[in-house]
Amino acid sequence: MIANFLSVAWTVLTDPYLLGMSALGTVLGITMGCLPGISSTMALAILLPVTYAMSPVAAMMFLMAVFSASVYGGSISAILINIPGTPGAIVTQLEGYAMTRKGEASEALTLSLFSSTMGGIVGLIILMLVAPIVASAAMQFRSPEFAMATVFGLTMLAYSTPGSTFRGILSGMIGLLCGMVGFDVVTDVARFDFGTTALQSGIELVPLTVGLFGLAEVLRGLESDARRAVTTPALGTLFPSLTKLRKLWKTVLRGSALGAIIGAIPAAGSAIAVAVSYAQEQRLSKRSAEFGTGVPEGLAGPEAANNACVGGALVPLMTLGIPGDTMTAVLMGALLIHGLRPGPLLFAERPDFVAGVYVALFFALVLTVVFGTFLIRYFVRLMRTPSHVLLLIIALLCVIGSYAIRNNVVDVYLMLAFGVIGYVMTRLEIPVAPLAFGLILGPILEENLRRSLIISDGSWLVFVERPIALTMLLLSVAALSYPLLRRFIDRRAPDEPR
Amino acid sequence: MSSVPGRDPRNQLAAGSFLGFWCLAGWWSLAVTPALSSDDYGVDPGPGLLPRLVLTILTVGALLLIGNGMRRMLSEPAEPGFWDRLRRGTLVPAIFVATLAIYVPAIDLIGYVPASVILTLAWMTFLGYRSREGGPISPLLQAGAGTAIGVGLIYLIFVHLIGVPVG
Amino acid sequence: MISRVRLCRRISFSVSAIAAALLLSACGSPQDDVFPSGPITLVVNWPAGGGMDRAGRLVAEYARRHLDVPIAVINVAGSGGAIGIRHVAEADPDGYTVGILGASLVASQYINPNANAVEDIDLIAFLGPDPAALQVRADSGIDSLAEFVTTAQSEPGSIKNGNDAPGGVSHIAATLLERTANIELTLVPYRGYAPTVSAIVSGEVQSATLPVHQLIDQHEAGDVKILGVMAETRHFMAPEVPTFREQGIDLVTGDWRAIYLPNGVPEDRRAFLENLFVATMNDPEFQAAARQQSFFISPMGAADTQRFIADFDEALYPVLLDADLVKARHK
Repeated sequence: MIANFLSVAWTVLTDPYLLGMSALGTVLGITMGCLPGISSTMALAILLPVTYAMSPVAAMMFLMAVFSASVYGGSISAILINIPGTPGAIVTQLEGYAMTRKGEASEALTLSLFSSTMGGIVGLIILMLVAPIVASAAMQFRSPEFAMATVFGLTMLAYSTPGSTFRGILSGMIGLLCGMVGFDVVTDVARFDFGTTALQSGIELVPLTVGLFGLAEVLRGLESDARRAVTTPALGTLFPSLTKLRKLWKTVLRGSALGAIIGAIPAAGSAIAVAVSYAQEQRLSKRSAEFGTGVPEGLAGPEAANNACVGGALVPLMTLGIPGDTMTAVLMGALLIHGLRPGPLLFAERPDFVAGVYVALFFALVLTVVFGTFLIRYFVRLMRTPSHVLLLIIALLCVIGSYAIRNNVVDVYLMLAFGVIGYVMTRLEIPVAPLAFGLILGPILEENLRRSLIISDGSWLVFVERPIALTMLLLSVAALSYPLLRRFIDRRAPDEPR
Repeated sequence: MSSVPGRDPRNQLAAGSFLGFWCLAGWWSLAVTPALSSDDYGVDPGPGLLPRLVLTILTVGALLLIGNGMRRMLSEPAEPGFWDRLRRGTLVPAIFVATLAIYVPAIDLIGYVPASVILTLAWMTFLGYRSREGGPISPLLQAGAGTAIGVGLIYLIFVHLIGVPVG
Repeated sequence: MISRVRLCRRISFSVSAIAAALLLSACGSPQDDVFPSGPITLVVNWPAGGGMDRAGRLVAEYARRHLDVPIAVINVAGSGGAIGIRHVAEADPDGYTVGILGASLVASQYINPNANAVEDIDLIAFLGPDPAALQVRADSGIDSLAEFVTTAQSEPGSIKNGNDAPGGVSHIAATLLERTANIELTLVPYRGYAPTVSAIVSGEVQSATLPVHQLIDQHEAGDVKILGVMAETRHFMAPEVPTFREQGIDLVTGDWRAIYLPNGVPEDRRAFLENLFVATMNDPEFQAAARQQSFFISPMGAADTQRFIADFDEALYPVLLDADLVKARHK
């Protein structure tokens, strides 16, 4: 594999056309990724027809670059305007946007660029070396494990989210309710539609997050006596000092490892990975009480995890031909167009092609650093626009972005509603991020929970008989009861469950 | 996990009521959908199980918050001005949401560009005068430039390049 | 350093070149007397990236070659495909809005009271079927369709079959299989094809009723065996697998894809579009590209398409009625 990788890498290095395709994909990926409403999946699907006329290798270079760079692009909008471009970036903005508000936008962006690149490379190395092992481990994951993994992810976020754990859980419950709106997947019964057709297709993630985070932040910025919503950040140093990076390398490695492994879990990988990484860093940090106010570890860990998931998500696609999420599904479509059907046969018989995919990802990562450092200057300069002009432009972006995701005007009204909800929740000091997580993980939880029961003939023991499921269940219970236990030990009179 | 700031009991009351609204809406919707209370789904626990479970947790949580708040309001001296602080500054955001709610159907009626230009021009001018942040440039001029660049770029990227079918 | 600058320049050049091309292509100069004189919109009723989306974009790509105007593909997704169909059904019947849809049209008119019915739209061309098949895990010890039926009959419900949620194509296929072969399976629902593939590969279910191409690799590797194809003819990707009819079970079902218009498009424009799409689908280059993406192409014009879909509707209604899924448009 290594020899194949090096020879393909050399071919690409000496071919300006291939290198150019990768560069073009990277730039388009970063810019589309940071536009609200243009998810990585949409960026890939929109650009897919452009590759029809290209050679398979060039198409792969281009699309892998779009894929990997759009994940980084999603973090840019999360850090600068509090709108997450990918599900994983919901955790990125907890610390990242807090740093922007402190005037450390360029530091946050650079830190996120370096840790996500590191994460991406670790993910790639794991993909190259042990893909078949990760794949067979992922196949141990069946419905009961998926159900418990989502419970685990939700608890981890509620446990670590800034603010009280108790309120975090309740916020997650609202998210779960929102995730149940629309047709139930097992029985096709319409739920929580309040008799309208508008809600029958369910609540999409993009309008919800754009409203809950983006529009709500605009509303806060409009408050009459408010501080400026987006403080003009100093450009600062672009390269974080070596000492700072050295302090963070363990964080980045932990995040990368978590992402590369958990990322192989279909559909929920990145969301769970970033939540676990965030909780982990908070537990290990000396400044755990300051999480939520712009702590670099809280940004670097999840960012590394988020991009390591790119490698993880490719594992089931490359080895088994099963796309784990919508992004890898589009990539699979792209390969099919060029007559390549990823799966066990291609994996075994065409090592040159497999190496080509890895090389494409590698160049995408390297070029993301190149263009990222170059673009960060301009992004940060954009933020120097007078705040009232910026607020209105962000509001327009929120509207068109929530419409663009499926060209449905209902989504725009939902975005407005969630803007108000997010604004009210912040005023009432109820954490918002668990709500978005509830929406992502809720449907996966319910579907797998009920499917487990169908398969086990209705026996709930299925969740404790299987070791992986049991472990995750116990960890979740422990994380939830820890604050409660501590209260009993402290014997302080509590004013509220925490 | 993180520290809970010393909360006013009335915040607990308000937060509890906010969660309570979700519970009311949820229970009501459950009650009027008979398919959700049926257990005629074989080994599948049915589409009503998780909604009931989640709503129960949410209701218990909301009641705990409200109860705690009430108890403390009776026992502790009230700090003045809590409700004022909670309301302060919300007028402009509320009007903004209302204009956005008009703006969305207006896109269909008069087209994306005219609707967006009216919205941004009006708001940018108002906010510019309010904050007097523009320095030597007059707020109107700044709003004009901001609108032209902002709406122009968004139209170019989303409508022309990506092909979002608006207006 | 110099090379980086040059590279950036070259890239910014290519970006602006692409942007300019897209801009030019988006600005048609509409004239009223000629059709088409402006861009045509093709609505895909599923999200970007799925099978329907790929089919729609492929058709648009090749139809463009027979036209002077561009075809823009947009995705209007939601409610199991019903929202996109409504988008087209309610569009101006001027011929500038067309759509591509699949079997979900027929199922959702009964399941979802708010979905459009077959009569609400005008089907003008048929792309091809995407027949369902029956796959079993190799380690299940079942080697033929006959053995499968015997096992399922002797221990009803012992075979767990992976399929869509009720009303989805692979669920309909599984239900029809139960009815025609008089067997009982445990139907385990998954959200879409990829999770179903995962489930049979990981061993959570023993069988699946997916389209042929979904498990072709595993079939060739010997982990999964395709027992039969629910089509009139054998599938080009697995020519050695017999059809259900060849094995004595009269079962033909699966997904299909068709092009449609809103009702009321003027006759000349309708005829123009029908010819355009049928010609596109008969284009050998298109067929080669489609085959490579595992699409089965068998083009039909408007009359045949409508007959096909009426028959499909006829066959499906009793199945949905039996599964208690008919919530609207009772017959």
